[in-house]
Amino acid sequence: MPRELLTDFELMILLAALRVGDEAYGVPIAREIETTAGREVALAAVYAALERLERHGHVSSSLGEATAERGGRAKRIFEVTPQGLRAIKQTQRALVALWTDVPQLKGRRA
Amino acid sequence: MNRSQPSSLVLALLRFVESENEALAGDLAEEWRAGRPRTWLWRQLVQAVFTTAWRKRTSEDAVLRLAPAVSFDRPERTFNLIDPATMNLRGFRVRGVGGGGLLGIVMLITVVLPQAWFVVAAGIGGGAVIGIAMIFRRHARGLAGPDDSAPLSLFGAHDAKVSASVHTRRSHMARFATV
Repeated sequence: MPRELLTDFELMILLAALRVGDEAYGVPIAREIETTAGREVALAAVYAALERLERHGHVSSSLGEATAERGGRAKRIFEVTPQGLRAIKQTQRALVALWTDVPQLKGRRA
Repeated sequence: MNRSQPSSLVLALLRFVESENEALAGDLAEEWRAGRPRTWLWRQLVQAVFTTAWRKRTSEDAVLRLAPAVSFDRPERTFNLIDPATMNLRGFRVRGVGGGGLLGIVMLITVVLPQAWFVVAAGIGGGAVIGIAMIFRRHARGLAGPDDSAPLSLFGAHDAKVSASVHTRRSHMARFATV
């Protein structure tokens, strides 16, 4: 089976969804990335990536509650699948392997 | 929360986004009510509108790709659909003039680079001058159109030969489809 490697944005989204937990929809995922990575993300880009990840089987989605703050619009809750977890681990292994033994990065803290 | 209501343009754009992705529109509304600044909303909205427009366009393309398979009873109608020279999905009578695309560019410039207001102003002024000049030219020469049957007549006399050859090509394709 070929290795499934994620792009940096896909990896961030999957990790953010895992950190958020049960209520992983667009807003908390985007906020988690903003808080931890210090990077403002477009909600449209988050949804585009999540839909791509869903097509590849890395996440599954279900409709959540519709609240007044949302103008009566339903939330779309995402959950990372076992295949998504596998892809995260494979990407991590690939990145760590690339990291290892790079002389310019030795003895430095990011 | 005591916030001013978003403008009617924002609401219209939100409805456009909602037509393709209800959850995204809901997220934008939720964040706005949570106190996000107006500039944030506009940045997000512009990107959401472009994404939605792209998705709508690609889904229309998918329908057109299926057209030959679904219209065996009226093949000429099928080839009218898939012939790129006759497609006009912009809701504007003159082919080649994309009002939605131009509006998008103007919005993008206004939001991303407000200092470049003179580009927008020059575009509006130039467009008005060209439009008025064309109206006078059409009145002077008595040209027909413009519409989908004679798209070139906006800039010159309608060429009956070109139109006839297009129709002949379409009927050939329709006959081929019935074989």
